[in-house]
Formats: sequence, structure tokens, C-alpha cells
Amino acid sequence: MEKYMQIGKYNLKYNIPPHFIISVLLLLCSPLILGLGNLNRFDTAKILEMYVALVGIIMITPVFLPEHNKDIRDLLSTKAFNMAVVYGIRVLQAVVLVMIMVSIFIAVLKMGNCDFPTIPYFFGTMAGILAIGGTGMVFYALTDQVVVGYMIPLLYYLISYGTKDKYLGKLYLFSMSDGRVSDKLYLAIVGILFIGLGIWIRCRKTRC
Amino acid sequence: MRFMSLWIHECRQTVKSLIFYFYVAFVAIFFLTNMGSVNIRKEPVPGQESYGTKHSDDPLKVMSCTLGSLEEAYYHDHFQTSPVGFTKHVQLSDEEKAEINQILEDMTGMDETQRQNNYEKQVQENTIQLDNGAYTQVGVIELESAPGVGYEQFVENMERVDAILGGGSSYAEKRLSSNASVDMTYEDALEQYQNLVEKDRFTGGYARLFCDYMGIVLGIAPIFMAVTRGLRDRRSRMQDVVYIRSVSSATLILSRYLAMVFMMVLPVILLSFLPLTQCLLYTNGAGISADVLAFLKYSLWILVPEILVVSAVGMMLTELTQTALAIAVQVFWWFLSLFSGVSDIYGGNYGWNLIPRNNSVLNYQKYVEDLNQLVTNRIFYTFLAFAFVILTVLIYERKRKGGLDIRGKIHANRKIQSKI
Repeated sequence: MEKYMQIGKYNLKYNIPPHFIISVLLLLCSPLILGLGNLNRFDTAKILEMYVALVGIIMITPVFLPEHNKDIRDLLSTKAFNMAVVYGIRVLQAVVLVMIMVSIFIAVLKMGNCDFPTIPYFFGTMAGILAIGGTGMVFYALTDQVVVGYMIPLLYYLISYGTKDKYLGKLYLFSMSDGRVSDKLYLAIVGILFIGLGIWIRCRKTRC
Repeated sequence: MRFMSLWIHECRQTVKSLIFYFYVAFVAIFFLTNMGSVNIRKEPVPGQESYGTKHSDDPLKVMSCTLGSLEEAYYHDHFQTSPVGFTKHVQLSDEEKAEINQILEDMTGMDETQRQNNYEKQVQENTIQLDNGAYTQVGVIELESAPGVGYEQFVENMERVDAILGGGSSYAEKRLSSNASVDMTYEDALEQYQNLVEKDRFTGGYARLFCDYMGIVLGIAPIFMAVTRGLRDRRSRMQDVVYIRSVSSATLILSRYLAMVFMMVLPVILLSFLPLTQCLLYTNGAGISADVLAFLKYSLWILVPEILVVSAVGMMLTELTQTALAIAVQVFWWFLSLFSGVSDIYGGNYGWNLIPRNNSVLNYQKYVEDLNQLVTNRIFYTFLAFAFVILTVLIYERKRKGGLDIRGKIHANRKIQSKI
């Protein structure tokens, strides 16, 4: 247990801060470019799905970054230690931090007199974050290139933006803006599966 | 000679890199899912049910619709703007509301009570009951301007309203006509079509539409290539080996940059053959003289500056930080550019937007009216790109001499990783 605590501590101290700072900066910039007051449910959903959800790419995708160097991966694969647990801890910490950020953002929207169902919108936003973050993890694991991990979720975002649910169906990222919160359940399931798949692929490739 | 051999070497390296194929897939998938096949426009015929709508160019109509919209916002104390495509509600102070009231009074010649009565009467007249029993408002509220109020005076006052609201409202001069949408007549539709066939030589309109879609994806895709290329030397631990070579930093960086840009432009040009072929198949059968080079010309002058500047930003920031920070910066810039262009999606008002929009094949008139803006915009970004490239050369030169080592050798997390 102590070992896991250590892993979490080091992750919070050394790996997460740059991504966390960029995510916080992104959210802090929002009042300068977006309105956060007196919005109806559709406008609120648009901000949460199209802007806030981008933190999923920043926070969740780069969980394999500390072992980006192949020599380090090779070294770690010789240790009698389950790397899947390490990745799991990192993902968990990233998701918890994202949940805190989204909660604060939603509280700001509520204080700004925005009219929307709080709990469904919180889970809807988290579902989108898990889906794009998980997509990034899978492609990062497949290619060993973090840039590809950032690229594919943005393609997913762009296809959602340009074609709505024409090709993506229930996996359309911005369904809340169209008034469909229930579709987010599919996104959440896919997001969680993709995060698991990403860890599995990474472990298979490094024989951890 | 040295430059050419390096350039060819870089092009070969790009072809061998995985990220290049992801770039091609990224651009192609976006193109195929968003534009795909071309929807060929046919000549309008008299008696059609509808010819679409357009922004009115009648000053009186623009004035009455805009004043009606402002009165509606004032009546409900519900002012909104959309500076980057997202609705922003603006809460005005009592002094600001009083100023808007004064502007409305000056423009309409009616005091607050008279305007309120007028507004409520129009709402009653425009409200209809739907089949499901619900009530809805149709049409727009219009408020006639007072006799003697000229269009210039009106524009001046609306600009003041826009300033009070903090900018980005529909009262800004460039957006005023969007308040007055009117149905197009057969003659209007025919004129648009004739512009497409005669002035645009058919393919011109479609080439702009192609650039519209590709502009969206090229506002972000080149950053991934630039960042990956920037990190490649460090990842393969070739940085120090390259540093000590005799080639100058300018030659090295410029050859990398131009090779990267060339390889990124290539798939865009190849993709343009798809809509071009479809257009030519139609024009040959219809006896229309098409411009075969339109896609190439528009792609080169509208899309290449975008690729140039995005990849230059990526290269400079990656060289400086040796991280993928450039992706975050570019995503932010791309987001602002994309959503702030939504209000002018069909062309015109190009301003300084990185992603100029032309989402209509029938927008020749708007395009020509604001062509100077677009030319200035593209020249600016081309110069900006080369300014970033020069900056990259300077950063690279400093690093070769041992300076600007932001990450350092100890800062590579080795201590942390060994503990885990």
C-alpha cells in the first residue's frame, strides 16, 4: 500500500503539474472569451462539451509520458512490478483532478445564474472527457507517440463538430447541446473501456 | 546545393515517418466526412417554392430590423454578444441602459413607453398557436427609424451600442446586415448562379468551399507534424550529433521547415482532385467553361499561408521548450479562430482570422467585396510564419552554442523514475 502511495505522490509532484497548469489556464481563460452567466441549458452544454471537455485530452492522454523513453520502459519491464497498477493510479488521479475542475467550473456557471440540470451535466461533461481522453490513451499506447495521442481525439472532436451524429451516432461528442443527455452513457462506457484498452495495449507492448 | 540535399533528405525522412501518415489520414478523414462528394448546383428555375434567404442590402430594412432587435433586448434587459461564436450575456449598468435608451429614442423618435407599446403590439401580432397548442413567435420585430435619420448616423450609433456591450454583438457595423434576412427572388438566385458560372468559372466557388473545409483542419493538423519533427532529434538522441555538424543553423532549419510544408501541401493538392474531377465531369456535359486550375490556385494562396504559420509556431515553440506545449497553444488559437469565424461562415469579413470561411459556392459577391482583406490577411500570416522561422533559427543557434537549455540534463525525471 505504501508503494502505491509513493507512486501517487510522485505522480502528483512531478508528472501531473504541467498538464494541470495548462488545464487550469484553459479554464481560467474562459471568462475572457465565453459568457458564463445567464445561459440557457443549450448554451451551457455547448461550453461544457466544446470547451471544458478539452481538458480530457490534456490530463488523461499523457499518462504514459513518464516512460516515454524506451530505455526506461525496458528497464521497468525487468522489475517485478505491475505497471498496469501504476497507470491505473495515474489515470485515477487525473480523473479526480478533472472532476474537481469540472465541479468548480459548473459551480461558477450556477453562480452566474445559468439554467441547467447540474448532476446530468456534470456526468455528461465527464463522459465526454473520458471518451476523448481514453481515445488519446489508446492511440498513444498503439504508436508510442504522445503527439498521435493528442491528434486522434482532436480528429474525433472535429468530426463531431462538422458532421454531428451522422457518422458517430451515439458516440457524438456534443449531444448535450442538442438536448440529449442520455447519449452520454455510451460515451462514458466507451471512455472507460478505452482507458482500460489503452493500459492493456501499453502493458502488452512492454510486457509489464 | 547543401540546402537542396538536406531538403530532399528531410522529405524522405517525412515519408518514412509514422506521423506523416497520421497527418494524411487526419486531413483525408476530415475532408471525406465533412465535404466528401460535391453537391453540384443547378440553374434556378422560375416558380421554385424557395430560393433561400439572404442578408438584406436595403438600408431601411437593415435599420428597422436592427432597431427592432435592440428594442427587444432592451425591453427584456437581455443583451447578448458572441465574440467567439459562443453566446455571452452582458449585464449592463443603469447608466449604460440609459445610454441605450437614449440611442433608441434618437434613432426612432419614440420615447420608452411608445416603443414598449409598439413592441408588445408586434409580439401579439406575430404570435401564433402551433398544432400541439403551444405558442410561438414568428418573424422579427421591426422598429422604423425616425425621419431624417441617415444610415451613417445609424451605423455610428450602433457601433456605440456594440462598444457598450463589449464588442462581438450584432450591432457592430460588419454584422448589421445579418439582422435583416430576406427571402431571395428568382432574379437574386439567378444572379448568384450566373456569377458562379461566368465570373467564378464554376470551379472557383467549389475551390473556395474546398479551402473552407480544409482551412478548418489545416488550422490544427500541421502542428502535430511540426512538434513531432521538433522532438525527433531529442527522442533519437541525435541532438548533439546534429549540433556539431558544419551546416549552418539557417540552412538546417529552413530545409526542415520547407520540406515539412511541402510534404503537408502535397496531400491537400491531391485531395483537391476529387472535387475538381466531379466539377469537370459536370461542366463538360453542361457546356460550361471551367477553370481547371482553380483548386490549385485557391489552395496555394489561401491554404499554404495557414500551413506555413501553424507549422512555424509549432517548430519555434518545440525548439524552445523541447515539449509538446505548441499543441496546447495551437489548439487554443485554432479554437478561437474557428468559433469566431462562425458569424461569417458564408464569406466576407475575413479580418485577421487564421481560418477564413467561405462555406458557400455562391458567395462570389461577398468574396470579391472583401478580397482585399483576405489578401492582406494571407500576406500577414506568410510574413508572420517567416518571422517565427527566423526566431527558430536564432533559438537553434543559441542551443548549438550551449545556451537556452531549458530542460537541462538533470531535469529529465531520471531520479523520479529510478525510485519507482
